Amino acid sequence: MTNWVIELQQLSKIFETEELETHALQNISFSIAQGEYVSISGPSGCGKSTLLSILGLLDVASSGSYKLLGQDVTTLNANQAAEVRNLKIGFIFQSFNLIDELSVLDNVALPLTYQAKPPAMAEIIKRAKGCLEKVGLSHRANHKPAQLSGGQQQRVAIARALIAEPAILLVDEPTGNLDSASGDKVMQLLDELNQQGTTICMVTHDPRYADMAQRKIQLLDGELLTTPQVTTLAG
Amino acid sequence: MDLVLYRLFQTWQSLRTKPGLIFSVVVSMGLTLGALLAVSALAYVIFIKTLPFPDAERLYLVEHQLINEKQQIDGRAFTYPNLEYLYKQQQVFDKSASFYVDAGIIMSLPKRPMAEISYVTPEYFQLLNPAVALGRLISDNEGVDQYKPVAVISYRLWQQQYGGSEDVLSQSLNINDQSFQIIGVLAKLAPGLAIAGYNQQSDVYAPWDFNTVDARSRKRWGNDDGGLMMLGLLKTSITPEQANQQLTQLMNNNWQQQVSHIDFFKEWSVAAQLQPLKDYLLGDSQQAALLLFLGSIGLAIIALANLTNLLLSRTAERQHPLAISAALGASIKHIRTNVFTEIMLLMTMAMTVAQGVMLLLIALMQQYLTDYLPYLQQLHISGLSLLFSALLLVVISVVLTLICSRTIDYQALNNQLRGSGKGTGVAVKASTRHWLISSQIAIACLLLMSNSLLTTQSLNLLNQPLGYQTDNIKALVTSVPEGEGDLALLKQRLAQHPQVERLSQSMRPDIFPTLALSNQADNARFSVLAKPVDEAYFSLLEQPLLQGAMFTAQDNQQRNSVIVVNQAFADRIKTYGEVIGYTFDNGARIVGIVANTVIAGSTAQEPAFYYPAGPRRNMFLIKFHQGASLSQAAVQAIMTDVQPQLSVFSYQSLDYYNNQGWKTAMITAVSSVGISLLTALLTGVGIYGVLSYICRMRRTELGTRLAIGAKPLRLVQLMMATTRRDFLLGASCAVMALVILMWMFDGYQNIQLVSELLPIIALSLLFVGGLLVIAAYLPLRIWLKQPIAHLLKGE
Repeated sequence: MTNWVIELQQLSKIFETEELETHALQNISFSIAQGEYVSISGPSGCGKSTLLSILGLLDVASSGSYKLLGQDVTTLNANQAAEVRNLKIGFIFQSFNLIDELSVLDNVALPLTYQAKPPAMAEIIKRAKGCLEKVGLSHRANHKPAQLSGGQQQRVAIARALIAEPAILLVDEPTGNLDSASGDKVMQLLDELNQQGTTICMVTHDPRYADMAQRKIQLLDGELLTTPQVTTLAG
Repeated sequence: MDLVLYRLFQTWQSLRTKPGLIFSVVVSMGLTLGALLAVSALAYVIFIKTLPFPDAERLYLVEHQLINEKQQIDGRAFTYPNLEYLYKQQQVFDKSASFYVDAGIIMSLPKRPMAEISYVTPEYFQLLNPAVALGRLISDNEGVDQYKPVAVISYRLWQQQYGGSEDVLSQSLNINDQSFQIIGVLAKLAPGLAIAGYNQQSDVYAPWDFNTVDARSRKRWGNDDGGLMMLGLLKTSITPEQANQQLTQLMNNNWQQQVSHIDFFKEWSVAAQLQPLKDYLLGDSQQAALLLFLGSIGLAIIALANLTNLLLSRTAERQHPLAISAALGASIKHIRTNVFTEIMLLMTMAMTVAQGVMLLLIALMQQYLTDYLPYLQQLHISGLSLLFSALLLVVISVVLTLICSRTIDYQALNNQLRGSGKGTGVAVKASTRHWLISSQIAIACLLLMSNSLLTTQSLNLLNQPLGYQTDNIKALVTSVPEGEGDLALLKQRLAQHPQVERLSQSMRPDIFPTLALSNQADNARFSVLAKPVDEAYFSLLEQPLLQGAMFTAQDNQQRNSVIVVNQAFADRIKTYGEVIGYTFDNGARIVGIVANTVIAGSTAQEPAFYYPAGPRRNMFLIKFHQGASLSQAAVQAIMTDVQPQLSVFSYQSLDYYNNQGWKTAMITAVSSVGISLLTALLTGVGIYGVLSYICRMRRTELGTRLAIGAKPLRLVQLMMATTRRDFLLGASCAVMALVILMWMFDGYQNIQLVSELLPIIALSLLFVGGLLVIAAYLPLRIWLKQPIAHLLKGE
């Protein structure tokens, strides 16, 4: 039996103004199974970021159904959505979105401090250090983000996304702000994480990196171009 | 707990990158809250705390009123026989005490110090119940007509003159040739009744029998004396109004019989008016404390408005990290906790500084204002003040957190990280900004206008010409009572001293007893200020003689019945005939008219007359040559040389006494100017903060305007237009509030509407308007220096 992490049915998003109605997403339906590595690609303005925001509960759909780990998350209130984001979703942004004032270690530890029942501080620090070790930056724990290169900052962001052991990593143009060498290293890291069992959904407009995913979903003008083929994994 | 500390540490890490913010908050809030806390502590002891006496709410002083034939109150002090009569006959108090406040030289001490002395009946201590450090208080056995010469001394006198020695109880002290056995020492903080100034309490308490009122005055029903007082514990069954009625009836019936043979008092009467002890002790300090309290509240409101603006801008500035936190799962509660922690941390730092400022202000008040504000020695940091500070800290932090949290759109925060950061998660509502600026302007204008008024009035008092010269003149009073020392020789020795330019054997110019004059034929009766002076008085003080002549040395020597009146008194006499030559029933004939004088701290030119002091008056005015002077020790040496019993009772310059009179006006002027400066500073910083934030938010728009050809001046006008409506609203509210406040406090009695009020309003509004212009230009200047391309990118 397939363990679905994400299940979308007829999902639409309409931006309305007094004069204009823009269909950002139309009837999107696809699913992502546990352990899958899925890329979402398409030209600029096709709705990739909107889709990722809805998947990350940063935005809500206008219609359709969205289940995360079998739970309908379309009707959650703000606090419930925050809790789901905290426990089940790991975000990696194009512009890293690290907090400049905090150290690298504190940035990585941040999600655990937002949990309703946070672990003991010693445990938080231990896990943050473990995640930094995983991305090869334990020696930079006490630095400020501004003291790191772009590639290193993105690896810190990956460590932060991993710390709460989420069900899925939502990755938004992870190499968009990086040079190609740094971008390759980040992609290699994501690949390794997937091989270790992490479910990944990545938005990218770079075909080279989109091809690295096990499955590609393409969008054009808010609609799916390709019919997603669900890869049924073992079990 | 460790997570709480971790969050605190994180917040501190974040804050320390903004030293400017920390400085602004800590300095502005620290100063204003410190001032507010110090003044609140003062207001607490003045308005709320009960007096430290048993049944304090039932303790009253009796004011004895002499009412003239026009039903006007002519005097508010007891006559000696009336006080004695009332003490024996009254039925309205459970217990009453008579006491007489005087000063004298303690001749038995080597330094012959001057001391405040209270001659009291035993009930005085029974009513006030002060603690003793040593010995006991005056008992019933030492009551009226017992003539037991004992004394209780103050803790201060014990420490300063007896070195705190317990042997003091075996010693006696000598005042006015009367020896008193010391039987007790009051405890250090024993509450007593302040006399003539809030910090001035008696050093010696002796039985009533030994009071220094002379035998003649003890029998005169018409001569009142401000040193005579009565304190009573009102019966619970009697209201103050009933007591006033009963005491008035009791006193007046007897008084009418006693003065029936004196024509001057025809149609006069006496009345009693109870004054709560608290009101007497507080005097006019209640109004001063209220004004200080309102001023510090106003400053605190301005500082709070500034802080709100700063924190709103800070929240807006932090929207990116807040958005990241939201994306990572921080709930609304987490975001609010984050904001609260930061505000709490800032306010804790500010409150710590405020405690220091409060201590400093209390120390300054205790150092310089003890004669003008009561209970200052009771002010200190107590558990209650710390609790109040903590409560204030939490309330301000919570309120500011709620205000800042209202500006956070959680959903928009979530959307902010979408793509390249579209949307704004934190935006301060325009109405909130306008409200803050308007209120800031209103309070600033009100504080500036009211403080300018106070400053103007104080300066008017300080600049009021006294009508006489004070340069290089000192007033000397000898301790030997009038008529007993060889004052003629002393006068001669002082006059011949090379340092002395001129000498007058007269009472100093700033004090006047009151005396009665009448002319039955004209049905003219006057109760006016009077001063004993010699023939050299007016020329020494350069007080101009307007008409007639000064009385002669012979007149003075023989104490002839000639007087000189001032212009104000002459104007009143004019209605009865020619002033020069006018003669009263007692034979006093007016020989001259001098110009009016005023007493320092007052603008009133009261009617007064001057009469020959005679050769035995123990008061001198000494004018020294330019740059010359004599120390008190030198004067004492001359006096001892003349006669060993003579000693200096008081010796100060006329400027010293006048400065005492001007002190209130000077303190008002200095504190008003201080509050005005702080107001201007805080308001300027606050409005700058708001406009700086608005500039940052609108930088792309400003760049666009510049790109299409707008000149910088146009942008300044644009920023000023942002606050024009707020200025008009705030200024209108301030003017209305000022009008209401003036009506409440002054009733437009002492303010010239056109010559004083309108210029002050105009200047204050102009000043705040100028602040607005500067505050609009400065933040804009920063952006105008940037390349327009950067502004267009929002950098």
